[in-house]
Amino acid sequence: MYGYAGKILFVDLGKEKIVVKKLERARAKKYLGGVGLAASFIWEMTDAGTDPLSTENPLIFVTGPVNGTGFPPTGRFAVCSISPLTGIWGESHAGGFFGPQIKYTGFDAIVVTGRSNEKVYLALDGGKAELRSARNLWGLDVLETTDRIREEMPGSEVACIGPAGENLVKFASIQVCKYRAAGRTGMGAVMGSKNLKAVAARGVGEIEVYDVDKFVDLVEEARRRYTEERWGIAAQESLGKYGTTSLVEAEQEIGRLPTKNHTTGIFRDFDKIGGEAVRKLVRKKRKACMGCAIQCKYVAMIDSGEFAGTITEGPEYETLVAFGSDELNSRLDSIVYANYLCNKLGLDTISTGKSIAFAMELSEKGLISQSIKWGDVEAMVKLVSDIAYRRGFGNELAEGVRNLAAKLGPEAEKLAVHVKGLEMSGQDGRAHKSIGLTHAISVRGADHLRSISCLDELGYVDIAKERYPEDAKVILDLRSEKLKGILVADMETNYAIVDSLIICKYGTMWPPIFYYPDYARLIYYTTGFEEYQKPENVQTLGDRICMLRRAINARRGITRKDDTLPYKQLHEPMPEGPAKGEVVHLDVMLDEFYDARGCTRDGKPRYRRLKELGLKQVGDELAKANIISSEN
Amino acid sequence: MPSKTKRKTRIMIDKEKCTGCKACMLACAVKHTGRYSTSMARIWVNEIDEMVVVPNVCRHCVAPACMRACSAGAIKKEGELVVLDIKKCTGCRACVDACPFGAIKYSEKLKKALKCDLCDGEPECIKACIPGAIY
Repeated sequence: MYGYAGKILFVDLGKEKIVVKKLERARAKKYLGGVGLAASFIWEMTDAGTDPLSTENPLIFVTGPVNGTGFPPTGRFAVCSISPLTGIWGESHAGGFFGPQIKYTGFDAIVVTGRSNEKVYLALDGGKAELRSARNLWGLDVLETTDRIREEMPGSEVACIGPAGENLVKFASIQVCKYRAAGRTGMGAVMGSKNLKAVAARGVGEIEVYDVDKFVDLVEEARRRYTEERWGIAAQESLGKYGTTSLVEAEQEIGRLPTKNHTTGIFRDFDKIGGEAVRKLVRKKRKACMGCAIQCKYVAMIDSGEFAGTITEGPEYETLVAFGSDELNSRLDSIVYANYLCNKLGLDTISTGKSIAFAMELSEKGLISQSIKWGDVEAMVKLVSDIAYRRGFGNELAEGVRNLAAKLGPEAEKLAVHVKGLEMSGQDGRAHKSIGLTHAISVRGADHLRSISCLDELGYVDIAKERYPEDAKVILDLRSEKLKGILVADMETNYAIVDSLIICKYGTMWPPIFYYPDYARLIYYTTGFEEYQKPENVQTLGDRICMLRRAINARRGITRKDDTLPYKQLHEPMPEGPAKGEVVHLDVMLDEFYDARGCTRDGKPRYRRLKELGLKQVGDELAKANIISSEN
Repeated sequence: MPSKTKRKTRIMIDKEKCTGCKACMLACAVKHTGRYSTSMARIWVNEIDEMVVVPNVCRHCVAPACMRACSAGAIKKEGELVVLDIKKCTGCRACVDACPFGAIKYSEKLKKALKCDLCDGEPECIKACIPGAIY
């Protein structure tokens, strides 16, 4: 099958059984790959009560048809499961070089269930898959584990957990190529619960695309659009030169830089942790994911001071916020070090940093007995390790802010910045209304990457006019709730395709270069699936994937009441900056979003819409469980 | 798109600029095999550590050690190029051992040597290299 390796690897760790199954053409066509394909398995393999850390919960490493080809970037993969942090659909993505290696070893996805009696790792070598003992690897950090496995399997790419995943920290990451994290929703804890330390892949396979001449031309076109022309030059000047770090300055300007546990959107010392500071002080070398044309990664090194000698692939914008502005910490070297520690121990930097920011505010308000002061670098660094090893108060934080807040009571819950249990990424809906809606409705919790719009955020006037000719002005108004339901629903559909192909948000979100007509050509030249020559069918595919993920959540009890925002963003006006006085009026946006998505006003998938999208069986099952009505 | 390159007789590497993305390998593989892979590329990116990434490819030497080592007469100097005749290659790997730069690899799939042929003077790897490390 063009674009695919054509096989799925099923690993039952409890029974030590490895089964290779064909990827059925019909399934590939219906769900494309990536999160779409994973969602189809999660729907079938879990139910309303599947415990995230149980043997039944599948952990799915998945690629898409584009991975391993030359289309930029090609290095991504996703890992999906029911999340132990949120209890709902979990998905996490990473770049680097691991994804293509899975395909070169002959598999489009690896579906892991059960729990091994021994500590093991999964080795995919050439066309072979086997479980090997990880007794000597258990307890080692990510860097050591990767090095050890590479000694055994030179040239392999390694995805592994660190101590945090072993200790079932609810927001443990799976690290690939050492420094790339599938960070969000605690996929590392699921891996740890299965006694699976790593997956290592080294393949000699080849990927054949449907129309290689047109595909190669499209790769060349993409390269040109990512580096030349108007948006390409802009991408190189921002992402190419600074990575995501220059967003610190951009968000400060619109008053949306989360600061002091998301209390405000303005950080006085923003310039000490922003893109220019990173470039001047710690950035040493530009890096890239496999086959990328934007190349936003970089190596950071600390030259002097107590963290001298630290070397890691550098903090992204999100990490600069989580360990910087959100903790009132203006010491860039300490942020780089905290990032290094998270990589090494296998922790999501966003949830880790945000949990510590939460602890700092709890301490300030006297809601906990510990003294953890704002910007206290020593306390911050200690807490990162304490979380990973579940020591002392770190053990409480390791459960995530929702669980800690529930223990401490309603005053603490007002300070807990999460949605559905996922600590919030570095945006604030008060200054950018559409991101407020995105955080509220995202299928994995308070996350930006499922449907953030950069059109309004960064002011892409021409692109907004192209996509929404009648409504561009309203769409572009950052602080108006109007039409944001339409905008966010469209972005969610758009990114469902991106996350199933799997390509990157850079080039599709920021800058928003690629869109449905481009995906149509890309999917067709890659797979030869004829219906996807039509952009509207690609959109339907995206809608189908969005709705299936939503159905998985609906089955687990998610409704409108869960599609909400932290107290601060709904009830405490932004205290300063360009968005001073603003709160998020969520209800009007939610109604519009549900209508556009094909959900009822209580946030559940409409039976009618499911049927239109080819998900009748899903609708029947939800109706049978009295979650939805087949009348709607 | 106008070609970035004139006809090349040699590929130059600036390893300081290499970001390690391996776009060169993918472009090389698809050009030579019509499929995407890293195993069938004739150029390789070796990651030494976080800071050092080194692309490696045939230098098309003036006095090629591989040519001297090849008992099948499969490697010849044609003008400025060192050319491998894949039909004559017996897969003995003498060239792989002889190359002082490690710029020839052995393909398990083909049971033959893999070596850069400069894509008729317009190397795909150069076109694919975003940071300009290959020129």
